[in-house]
Amino acid sequence: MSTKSIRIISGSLILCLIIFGSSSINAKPHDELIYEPIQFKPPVPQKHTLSNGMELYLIEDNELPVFDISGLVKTGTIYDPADKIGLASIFASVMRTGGTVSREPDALNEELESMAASVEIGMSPEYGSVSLSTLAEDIDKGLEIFADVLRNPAFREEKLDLRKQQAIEGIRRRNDNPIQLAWRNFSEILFGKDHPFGWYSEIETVESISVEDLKKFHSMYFHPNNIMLSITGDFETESLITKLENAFEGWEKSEIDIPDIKNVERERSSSVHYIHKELPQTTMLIGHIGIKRKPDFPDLFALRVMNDILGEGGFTSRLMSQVREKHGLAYMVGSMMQTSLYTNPGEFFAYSQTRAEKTSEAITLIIDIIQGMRDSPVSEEELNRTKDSLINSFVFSFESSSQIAFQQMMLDYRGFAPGFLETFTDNIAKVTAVDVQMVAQKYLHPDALTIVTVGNKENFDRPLDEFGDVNDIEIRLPEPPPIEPIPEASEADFIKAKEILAAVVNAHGGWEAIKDVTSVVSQGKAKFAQMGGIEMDIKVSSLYPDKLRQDMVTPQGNMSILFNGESAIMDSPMGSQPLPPEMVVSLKDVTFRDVIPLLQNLSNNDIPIQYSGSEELDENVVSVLLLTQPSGESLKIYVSNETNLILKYAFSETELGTSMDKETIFSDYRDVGGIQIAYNVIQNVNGEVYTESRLNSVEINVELNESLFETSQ
Amino acid sequence: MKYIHGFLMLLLMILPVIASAQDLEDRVVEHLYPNGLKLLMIERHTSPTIAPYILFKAGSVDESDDARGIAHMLEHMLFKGTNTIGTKDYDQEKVILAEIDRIGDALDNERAKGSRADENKIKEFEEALTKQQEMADEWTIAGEYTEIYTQHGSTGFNAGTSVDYTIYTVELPSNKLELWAMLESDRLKNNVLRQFYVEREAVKEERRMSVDSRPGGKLYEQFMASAFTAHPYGMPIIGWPSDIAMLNRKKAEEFFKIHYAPNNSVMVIVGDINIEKTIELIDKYFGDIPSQPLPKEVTVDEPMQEGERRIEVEYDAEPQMMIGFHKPTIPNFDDYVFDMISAILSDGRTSRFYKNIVEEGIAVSANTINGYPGARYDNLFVVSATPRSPNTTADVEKAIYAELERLKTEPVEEKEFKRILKQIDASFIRGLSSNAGMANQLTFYEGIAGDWRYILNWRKKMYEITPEDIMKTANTYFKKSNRTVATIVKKEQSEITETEGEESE
Repeated sequence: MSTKSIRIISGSLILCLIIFGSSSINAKPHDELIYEPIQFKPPVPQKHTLSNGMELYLIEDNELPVFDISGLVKTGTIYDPADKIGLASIFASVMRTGGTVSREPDALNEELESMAASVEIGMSPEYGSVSLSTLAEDIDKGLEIFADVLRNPAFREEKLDLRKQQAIEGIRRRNDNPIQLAWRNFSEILFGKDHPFGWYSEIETVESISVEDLKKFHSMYFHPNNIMLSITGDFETESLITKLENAFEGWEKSEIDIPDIKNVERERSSSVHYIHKELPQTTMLIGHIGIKRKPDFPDLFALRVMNDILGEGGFTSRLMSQVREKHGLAYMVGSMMQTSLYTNPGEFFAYSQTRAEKTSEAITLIIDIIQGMRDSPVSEEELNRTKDSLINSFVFSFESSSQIAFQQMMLDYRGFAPGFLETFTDNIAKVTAVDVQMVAQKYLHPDALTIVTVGNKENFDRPLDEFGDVNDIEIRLPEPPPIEPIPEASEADFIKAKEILAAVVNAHGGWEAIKDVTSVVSQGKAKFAQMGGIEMDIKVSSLYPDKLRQDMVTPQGNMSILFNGESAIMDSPMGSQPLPPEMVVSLKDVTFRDVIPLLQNLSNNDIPIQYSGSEELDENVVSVLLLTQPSGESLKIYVSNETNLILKYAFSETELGTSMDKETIFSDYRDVGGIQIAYNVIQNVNGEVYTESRLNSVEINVELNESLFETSQ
Repeated sequence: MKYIHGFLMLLLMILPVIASAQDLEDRVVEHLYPNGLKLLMIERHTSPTIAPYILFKAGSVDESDDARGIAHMLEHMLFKGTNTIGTKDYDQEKVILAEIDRIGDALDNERAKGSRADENKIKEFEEALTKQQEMADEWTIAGEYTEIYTQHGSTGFNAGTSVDYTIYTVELPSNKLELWAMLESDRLKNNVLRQFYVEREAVKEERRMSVDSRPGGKLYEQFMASAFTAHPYGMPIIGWPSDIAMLNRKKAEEFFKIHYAPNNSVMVIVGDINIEKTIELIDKYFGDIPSQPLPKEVTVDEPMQEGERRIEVEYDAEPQMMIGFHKPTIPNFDDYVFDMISAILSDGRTSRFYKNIVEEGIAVSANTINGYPGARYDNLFVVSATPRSPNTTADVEKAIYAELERLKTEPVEEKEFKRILKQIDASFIRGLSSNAGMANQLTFYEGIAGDWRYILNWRKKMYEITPEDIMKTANTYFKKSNRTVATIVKKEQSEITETEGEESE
């Protein structure tokens, strides 16, 4: 229907957009219009590096008497320590609100606002941002304050406290909005609570942030050679560079050690989740782990076209035109594929908000549309329309000098190949229907979708389990912070933990008896509280330190789980199948915290274990010990102060992408060959009893053949 | 998010201002066509783009009681095309559309009987409607109108309905000005409001999303309905659920006929244009649309409030609150004073609410807006706040009143005025940096204040305000008997079971 072209002349970008009208079968009045070609040479940012390594992107623009800096710092919320989630964003806000060493917060605000200027610091997952905006008449003063905030932030304690209170209030309110609620759970399930892409701050992680943490964060990332600035407005480049050299004088280059971000290790898998909220409308997110952008990423252009057609292209996308325009099933519907993240893959998701009575209908339609992108090539008409749209609207990437300078800086920051903008329209023009289908097949996985719904299933058209087993996610208001937060471990806490440990070893039979135990076989009955209280015969065989086998007689026949320390399988009448990596991680923790090998391990090896106070547990006073399991999850051990026996474990474990709070409660300790063994074990999940096991026989040091734990067929 | 067409514009534009007033005065070119259409233009060649906007002085206040929500519904429908765009053969299609109207009416009337409705008839009508819609789909090219814009590189293609007006916005490469004029004039002359009942479902979803599923949306709707007892400003723009359920094509066409006249609209084009050619081009496409008698203004006055109104909204969410005071609209001098009061209370980190309420940890946010929900008629000065636990809405309310009391008794310092005036001037200058921003300002003030020069005059007035004016205004309006207070409270568990099954849409 139309063609267009873009020309690059002498290395700079010249946009040349031409559309030729053409007649089609259904002639429309606008087909006859003739469009003058547009020739446009947008300004090109001038790059300059200051002597301290700070990189500048400058465009002089004297249309208005204003001056703007918008900069990037190589850091981000992904660098939050796992026990201080929320640090980076709280850091950014207190860096500004906490004033500088020489400027009290109120004075800083007064000074900036009285000249209608602003200095702001922000934090995104993969970058930090800094900005200054002033009238041109105040450039000197503006630069001086901007440099002061970057170099000498004071992080005053009372401003940190205020920001922490605000963050906690945000956590308290985060279930109020269904989109926010669905999103948080969606990314937790996709990436796991142990990855920066999937974790969220909690009251405890916010509480633990100190002024020292903010200062440390600042000294890690805020160095001139880790900062890029895009600068536009009414200035003269040469003298501005001199001013910047002066403002940052004495701020030297520094080695910067950016921590590695661990890779997302989760596999894509399909799962269905439901969060109950009394609403007339269901909020749904449907998607999977997406892609990580490499510097040279030729699929990007076909992906742009494919994503536009699927659900990013506004009103003309398939999701919009089918779900909203044709079926009236939503007001907001679409999809999004993150293609700019460089440390780890982002997410692909489709979203919709649809009346409860049409929930399953909408989910089915959305999945069909995603599937349709893979199944057949897009029509020439749809392809051309989308390419035209991308090419013709490209000029809006060059509307203002600040946008142009910032855009170039961001492309460089994210590691886009040089010339990306210059070749963008050509590359889009080359995309074919075959390319679009190819990237759809490569990057869309309708067979491995995570579906998260927030709404009221009472009113759903059909039960959600047609899409898979439904995991009910319970939402609770976050617990208020403990009255006495767990103090940071001191030397005394480690020493005390060792003392308690010695007493525990004695109480459980003494080191002489414990050290020689190599295996245990126990048999009994397990009652499953949440399956109508059904009881099953169970036998657990452990070959220390890390082999485990559980045989169970279920109504469907015998079922066994075999774990050889590295991998695990499940044998059942249905056959034998390997257990997923997530389960293996859990099993490693299970063998680690098995009481006898744990006591052996702690006594033989120097494993950090800390005392974290005493509490009351069912009228017993208990000491709490804290240590880390192989998965990285912590384990709390509750030891009776009276008998020194272990009464309870508390830990978190991830099942099907959802983190659960679990407790193991030990009672009815009996003597077995000089060792104390708990004959009654209750397993709680999220505060409710899951199983109760009663043992009727326990044997120690039984000959166990390794083949019992063999996981290869 | 991009492309939220039909987004309800609840917020008034924050006032800009003009530092180099002379500059703007020189750059805006006005042209009045014989049919009453007013065109404002700013020539600006920073990039080869344009922002053409059209505003119609037709908002939800202009609706009749039996068609509440129609201004917003019509705005959605005007994206459905014309007798040439969006159809393969309009002559064939229109026969079916008439049949759809007939069945749709019968269905709505039957449903409206509520518990006395005949379920069999409803089912029969529903099936018939679906069948006719499928037949119409044979002739419809769904989404074509939007597709043309998209294909030609549009951005910000959208529309919004407020209590006062409806605005249609887009940005395009500058060589597409004629395309815009053709498409926009075509939908004014030849629109076909096809796919009405499907779009009505989408609007119901919009209501569920923006009101029923959002604590803030629910609170706002109930707050407005309590603050206004007689004036249509109290009615939701989108309509109550039962209003939306009774909207039809006939009502939309009637509303269009009465309100979408050239002499009831403002057109603004900012960007890479040639003034002379643009005047000619607009004449070519819009010049033949006849002017017509202007619709009547709303005549009902909100009676003076005679006692505090206090309401609770039960919702499964943490507390939030809104407090509103009745006050006159522009161009009353007090309205300018309220703009100044709003800046003193909540603009920036030096503002009083920020320093004394937010930084004290009483609330996580406390803001003010002058001029809710619109500006054509007398309106409200609104304070909205979100307490920080363990502080309650009562604690926040107390802190807010303490600040309002201060305004009554303590003269505002020179320093505070100076800072605000400098910010006014700077934000005016910054407002000149985008085509869309300027188009927005010009359409709004020309359309609602009657003259875009209000922007220039506004700045002058702000410089005239004295500390005494502030005290006088605060004393006149910040009175208990003149306020409405609305808060979100959590449902008690027992009440959830009591009301279960009682309400359903």
